[in-house]
Amino acid sequence: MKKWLSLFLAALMLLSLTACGGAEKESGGASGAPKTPGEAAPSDSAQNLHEVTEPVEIDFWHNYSNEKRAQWIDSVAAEFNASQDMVTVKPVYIGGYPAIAEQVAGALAAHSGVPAITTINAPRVLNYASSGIIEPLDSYMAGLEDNDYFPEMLNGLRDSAGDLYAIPFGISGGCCIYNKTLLDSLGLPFPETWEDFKDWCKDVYEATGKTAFAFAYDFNYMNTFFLNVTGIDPLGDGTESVLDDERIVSFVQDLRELCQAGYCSYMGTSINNAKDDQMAAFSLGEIAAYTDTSTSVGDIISKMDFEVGTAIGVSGTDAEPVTTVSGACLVIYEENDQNTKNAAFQWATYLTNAENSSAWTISTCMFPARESCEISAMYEEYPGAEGIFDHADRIVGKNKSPVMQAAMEVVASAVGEYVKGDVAEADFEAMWENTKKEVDILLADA
Amino acid sequence: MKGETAAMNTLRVRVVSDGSAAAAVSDSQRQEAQKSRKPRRRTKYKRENFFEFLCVVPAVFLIVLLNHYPLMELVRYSLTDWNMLKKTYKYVGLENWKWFFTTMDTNHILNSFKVTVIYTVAHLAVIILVGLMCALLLNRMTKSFAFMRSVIFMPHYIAMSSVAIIFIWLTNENYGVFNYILKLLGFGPVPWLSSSSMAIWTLVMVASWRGIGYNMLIYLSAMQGISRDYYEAAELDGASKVSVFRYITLPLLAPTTAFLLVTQFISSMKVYNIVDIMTSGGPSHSTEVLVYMLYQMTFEDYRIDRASVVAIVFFLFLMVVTALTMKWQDRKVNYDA
Repeated sequence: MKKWLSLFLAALMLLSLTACGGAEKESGGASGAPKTPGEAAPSDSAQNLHEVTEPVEIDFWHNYSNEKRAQWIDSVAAEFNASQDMVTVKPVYIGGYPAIAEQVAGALAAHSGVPAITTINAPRVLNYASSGIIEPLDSYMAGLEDNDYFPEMLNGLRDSAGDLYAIPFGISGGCCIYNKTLLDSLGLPFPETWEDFKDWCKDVYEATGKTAFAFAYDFNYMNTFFLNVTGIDPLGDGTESVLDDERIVSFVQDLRELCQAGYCSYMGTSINNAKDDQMAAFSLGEIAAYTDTSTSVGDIISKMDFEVGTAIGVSGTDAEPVTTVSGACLVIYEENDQNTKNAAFQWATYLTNAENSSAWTISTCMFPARESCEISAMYEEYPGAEGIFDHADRIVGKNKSPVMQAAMEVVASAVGEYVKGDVAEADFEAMWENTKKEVDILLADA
Repeated sequence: MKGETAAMNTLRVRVVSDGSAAAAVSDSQRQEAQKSRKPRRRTKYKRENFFEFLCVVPAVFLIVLLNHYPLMELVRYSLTDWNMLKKTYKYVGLENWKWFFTTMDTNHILNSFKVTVIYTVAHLAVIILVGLMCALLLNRMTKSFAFMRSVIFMPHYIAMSSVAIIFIWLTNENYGVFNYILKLLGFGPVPWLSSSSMAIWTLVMVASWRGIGYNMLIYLSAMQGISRDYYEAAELDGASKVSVFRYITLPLLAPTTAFLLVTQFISSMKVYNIVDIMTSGGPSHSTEVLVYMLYQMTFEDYRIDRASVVAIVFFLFLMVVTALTMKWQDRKVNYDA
């Protein structure tokens, strides 16, 4: 019996090694041949890229667990389904961004159950685009009659070759939120320049004895601050960082001075911890202002018992402050057939048309996708939000490196250690050099 | 003739007890009769063996499918350049292995090993020592002690993710209960999770709080199995409590300790959820354990090829340590008592 068992085990082991072997493994995919990113999908010649020629049901995976938002999506899908009879959209809540990413990775690996269209976190677009799993959309957009999406927002969803891969949907960006009631009473309006910001922090601290501004451990917000204050992207052109640039070093050292003096604080060890701490501190009046995502604005304005003001950020150069594209966008998967992709694009443009995008912005405090969106009704419900949402044209793309997120996390972490005093001043140079080395390795490896 | 000579040579006469002569039986005839019986016995033996084999096959198949097959696939992935999102991959030989050994330092792999080992050693030390102490203290069959044992074991019922979420707030530097109590006692706030030197010890503390009850229970069961004769004999000889513990209780608990060491070691080395929820590997990779790093590499960076190499090395490390522990156990641990 032992002999039989041994033979059986050996056979199974050998089978497992050879069963899925082969030098290259390719999926079916719509067009058969693998594409390099940047090339337009080789469409079936008989089919117009926009036209859905056969009735099709498509799955739309999204990450909105909030009942109101999920219901809104369901109602828009029902409207869309009722307005025509070729495409039936089935919205499915999957989970947060990581859950959607995992499910998509699993479906792609299994070559089965790949959805037609999903929301994904904007920073993932580059990664997905470089892997060739999402459909480039320039040829689709070219046929769109009412293409008034914010150009800078769309640029933020292009890859390094300039090809568009996603449609803005639940776009957000880092911003500054401040206690307007307090600042008005002190006669210290929220500053617009970095030099004014440093003086403002000191003045608020001296007037109240409390922290003026709370930064957060978050690669998104740090990225925005670097961009606005120094005018340069710390990750340079995406192949080598510019962390040793004087302006960057000076900004980081300024931050440390502000934090060590007590004028500012640097909160959290992970994104969740930082947001919770900041909101708690802000609501208790322990900080006068802090950095957060624009999607929080509605919640904050409605919950605080004082007047809240908002701003895109502070600028250290002559340029207006900007915010970098984050939040959710819509991507269409290359794996599916052309008819399905056409259907997905139709749905995506319907979901983000001026009317729906306006309603979505008013209800969720995410940036409107189109220039023709009318969102003034939002300011009646959320007074103070105009400081951010009037500037949807100031959303810009992040660095195009596929490892941008990982690299900025390294930077944000190093900045946090330094400004909180975990790294001595004397060790800053060595620490910052190591940080640059680590980031450069990440960028080179991408 | 030869045949006749052979038959005559092997002719034997058997006289049975009643005196009558039995028919003469030649050796060759007996051998022939035996040969005709053997195939039947061997066939039956083979049939029984095959039936037993068939009964075991489903279980073995499942084990191979869920354990060995994934391991084989892991080895195969480590020889490819597969990014989970890409449709194509090719075999690149030992490129990923070269990457592992040349960039171990800069890719935080060494750091993750170090953090995992520190966490494991500290966690093991606390749960085994404190678990043993609690078992010794509460080894009495009274209602009040039973209640105390239940209280100590209760954290084990709570899912680790729930524990992690609760402790995130308990250890919050600005609004947490722990720092509030410290403030009342006149101490300053402790950066439980926001300091890179402190965060790992906070995780050890939280995981140990949850794990002590289980170890205590195992030790208690083992103690119930120690014969009272040893203690009575020691009492008669006038041994002190410390001597009784050192020369009787501890050696007799050696098998249990060995069991807990092995099982808890493997479980601690595989820690993930508490790190993911409480610190996400930070601050500054100070709590980035190996499994968390593997998860990031696979599902955030989609580099399953490289993650496979790290996973295989981790597996080999665990296997070697477990084997050494077993060997040590064979020499030092006496199961006979």
